[in-house]
Amino acid sequence: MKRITRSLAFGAVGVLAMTGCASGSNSASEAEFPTDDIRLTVPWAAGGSGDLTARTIAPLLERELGVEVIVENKPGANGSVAYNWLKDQEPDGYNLSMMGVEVATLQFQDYDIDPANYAPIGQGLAGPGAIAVPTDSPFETLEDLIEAAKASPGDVTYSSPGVGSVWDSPAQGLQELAGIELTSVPFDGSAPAVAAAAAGDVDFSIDAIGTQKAQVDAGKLRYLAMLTDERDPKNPDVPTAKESGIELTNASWVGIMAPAGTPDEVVQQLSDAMAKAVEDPEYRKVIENSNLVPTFKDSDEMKEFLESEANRYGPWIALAQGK
Amino acid sequence: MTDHESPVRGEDAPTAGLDPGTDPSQEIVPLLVTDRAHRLRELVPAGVTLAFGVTILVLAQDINSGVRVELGPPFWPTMLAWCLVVLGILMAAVNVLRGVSSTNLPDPLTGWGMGRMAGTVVILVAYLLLWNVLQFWLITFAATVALTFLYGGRGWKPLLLFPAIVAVVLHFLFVVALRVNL
Amino acid sequence: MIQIAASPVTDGIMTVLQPDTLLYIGLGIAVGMLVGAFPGVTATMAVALASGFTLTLDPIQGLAVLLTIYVAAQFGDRVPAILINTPGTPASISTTFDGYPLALKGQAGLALTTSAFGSAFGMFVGIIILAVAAVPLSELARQFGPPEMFALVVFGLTMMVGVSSGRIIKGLAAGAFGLLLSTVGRDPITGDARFTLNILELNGGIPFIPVIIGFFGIAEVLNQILTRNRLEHHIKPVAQLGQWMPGRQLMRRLLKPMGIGAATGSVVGLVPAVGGDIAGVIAWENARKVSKHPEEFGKGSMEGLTAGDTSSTATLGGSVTTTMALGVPGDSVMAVMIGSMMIWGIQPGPALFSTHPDLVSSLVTIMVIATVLTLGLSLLRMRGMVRLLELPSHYLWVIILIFCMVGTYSINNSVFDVFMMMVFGAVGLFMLRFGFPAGPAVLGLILGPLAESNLRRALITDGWASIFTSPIAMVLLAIAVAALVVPPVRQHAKRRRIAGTAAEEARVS
Repeated sequence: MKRITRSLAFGAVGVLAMTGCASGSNSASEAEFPTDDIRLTVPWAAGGSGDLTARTIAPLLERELGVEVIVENKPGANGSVAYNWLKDQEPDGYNLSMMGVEVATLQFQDYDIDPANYAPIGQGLAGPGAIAVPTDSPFETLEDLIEAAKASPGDVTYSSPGVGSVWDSPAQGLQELAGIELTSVPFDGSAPAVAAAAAGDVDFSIDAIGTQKAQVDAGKLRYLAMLTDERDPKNPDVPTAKESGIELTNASWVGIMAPAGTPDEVVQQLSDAMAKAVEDPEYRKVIENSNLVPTFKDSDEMKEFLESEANRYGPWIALAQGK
Repeated sequence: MTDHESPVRGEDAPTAGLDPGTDPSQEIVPLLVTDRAHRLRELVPAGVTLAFGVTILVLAQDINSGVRVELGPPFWPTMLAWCLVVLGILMAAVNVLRGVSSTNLPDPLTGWGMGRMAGTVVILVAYLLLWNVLQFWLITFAATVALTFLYGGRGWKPLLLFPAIVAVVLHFLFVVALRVNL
Repeated sequence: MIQIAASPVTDGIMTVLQPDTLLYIGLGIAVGMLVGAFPGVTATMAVALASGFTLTLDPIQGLAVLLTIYVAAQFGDRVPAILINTPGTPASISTTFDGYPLALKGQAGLALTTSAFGSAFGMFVGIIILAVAAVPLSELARQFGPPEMFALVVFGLTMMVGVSSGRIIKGLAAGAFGLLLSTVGRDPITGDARFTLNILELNGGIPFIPVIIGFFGIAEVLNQILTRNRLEHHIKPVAQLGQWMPGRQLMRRLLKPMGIGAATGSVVGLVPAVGGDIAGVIAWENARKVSKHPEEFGKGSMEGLTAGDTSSTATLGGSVTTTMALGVPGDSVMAVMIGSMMIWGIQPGPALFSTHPDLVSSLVTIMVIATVLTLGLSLLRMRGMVRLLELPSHYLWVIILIFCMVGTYSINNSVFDVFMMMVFGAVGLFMLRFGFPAGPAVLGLILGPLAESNLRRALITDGWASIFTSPIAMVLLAIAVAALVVPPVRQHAKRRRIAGTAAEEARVS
């Protein structure tokens, strides 16, 4: 019903349309927070793990908040279209967006995306990474790989899901930490990148453990090292990169955020609802089935985390761009 | 958009004059239209092709990359832009100097049509801009009425019933069923 | 061997033949046909939306809904392509080449039924491939690395000459234009911005579906608006409504294009990342080359229509095969489906066929039932659909314009996409008025990114040697060169022969 009054008001000044301003509701600060439907934007195309998270968590948030949570895909330009759109929305908690590491890293790739424009709500999952090689690869350990790369700089190739992406960057980190030179072969997303390694088109794949799992289970790929702090409980035989003396860990992650300026109580309320949703067995089951790890960080932790991600990725991306 | 009335277009013009290049079984020589107006009109596509190619060549200068790879980012577009330049010149040479194949002749414009076209553009742009502002079904109804009126619909059926059906169908399909935020 | 396999196969079939699973198949057909018939609303979108609801179902029922939507959309999208020159989904681009001219000739009914039969035939061929040869064929698909993909795409690009319908210079210019459009956005290898003109949305490239809707549907409507008189309200009256079913003679003539379509589609479908859109165009061109009446192609040829439609549906079997057996999405619909399957605890990938042997027979059964039911429904429903052409043009134009706009918006919830659709409608109109064929431009737009990125990827790994040392790539490149060189040479030879017997030739053709 509110839409009708709203549209009547706008209809009177229809020219305002030119400014492209979208429906702003001013009732948020006065009343109890969720009184209206919440829009949860997904900055990626349908089908990925981020989209999946949104569609799984939406009904759980509905249960916690008592209002409808409508999932909407707004893909485009590495997610920046949706991030940019969110920045201009009324900071009232009714417009949210899923987010990935790009929020922190797009700024290094000439995109006008500043993490300070957003108020993180929380993290929903993590996808810890691994280095995997084709089963018949001569590399038995990470040291073998590093040695080979030292012997002939630039001859060892790896597949990445795209320049500046969450998996291309740690490969830059690997080069830096080990003092080696690798050649990146960027593909259009994770699935073709991992498949290229499985087919032997490149020497190794650096991606999420879960994304490589299908090829590992089928005997096409073999994990060489995990990019985690501790050994992966599901693959206890595979050493971490740390054990080989390379202090490299990385995980992809998905979270939810609101525009900056959203009242603290509203952010807190959303963050609490999300915390409960992430604990829900239904959510855990879906995420674990997709070979990802349900992980929660609250709003404040997320803010720090975004900052540290930006500091970590900035130099890596500069390295990848040859600057 | 400029266009000329087409004096030579006969009843059977579209079926005559197939290309000589790819049809082995077709030995009919294409009907060449060689009057000056039509040959000069061909300067438009040739010019646009050439201009587009040159624009891309200029814009491609701005692509700079720090990464050293074989065939860097500007290579592919530059190659294509040169293709366009060559094709533009060829087009000018062949079609303007030799004549136009009659298959290339469009239906003649009508003055009435150009007015309607302008009206259509105005209505559609207004419709697009009002999307996120007004109720979707309301604005769809209004745009449908305006367009139907423009195209010559008169009476309550085209101007009330038809727009109502369009608005209702679209509202239910997109807003209710597909939950598109309109 | 057969004895052991028999049990999981029958198990798989029986799980599908439950009343509630059949109900879900019916639901999927309804959604799929509706979605396919709407320009802009793609099968990908419908499957993504449906996957939100199917998460709670058990895997077979969920797959029944999603796969059926996928199958049914392939029939639905032919309808707007034939009736209003707008592909319902990109898979029916080639349908517009001959389907719309047929409708203008008053053979819309016949075109729709023939197209449905061709599509069903293609679907069955694809399904058979999935059923009997999934694992070995997916191994073949695995051989397609960057050099092989590049060679395949080069072969695809040679089709530009064919779809230029005789206007070669303008056709190639349109093709180069399409290829250039595909370079807008971020460089696939280095990530540098190219031709983005400081517009944020352009960083993601020029959206493909809005462009094809603009080129085909909007441009055609605008041209009609421009050229119709004040009093001329009707689009060409539908002259021939009597004939619906193709006669025996026509069917016999269509066997060859159907075979070509099925073969082309099956091969293209197996290659990851290329789908029905390109398969349709390639088969259309292949059929033209061997046809006795190549001059009809593009002007209303039943053969061209059938070849393209058979081919684009034949990719489904191959696409499901690569998706399930390699874990690499065969196209965007399958990408969404992989996500859903992982939630159900089914991991698509090389191990799938050994861990879930019954799944393949379930998939096959679902697709067979969906195809048969959709074909029946398509044939029943055609009469009502063709009525659309009898509408006075002030209704039809409004419907096309408004529906295309809303449909385009719904793809990505993006006003920018709608704007691009309108811009490319204007560009399409320019091309139409000045004799540039739209086919090569669309082909360039689809194949451009694949050609460039795979060439450069191949160069990164091993330099030019990676292409020259790949037998598959070299064979494909040789075919591509032959496709360009042989027809003109043969024609030249023929001309010289004809020059001698010109008088006799006059009676032929």
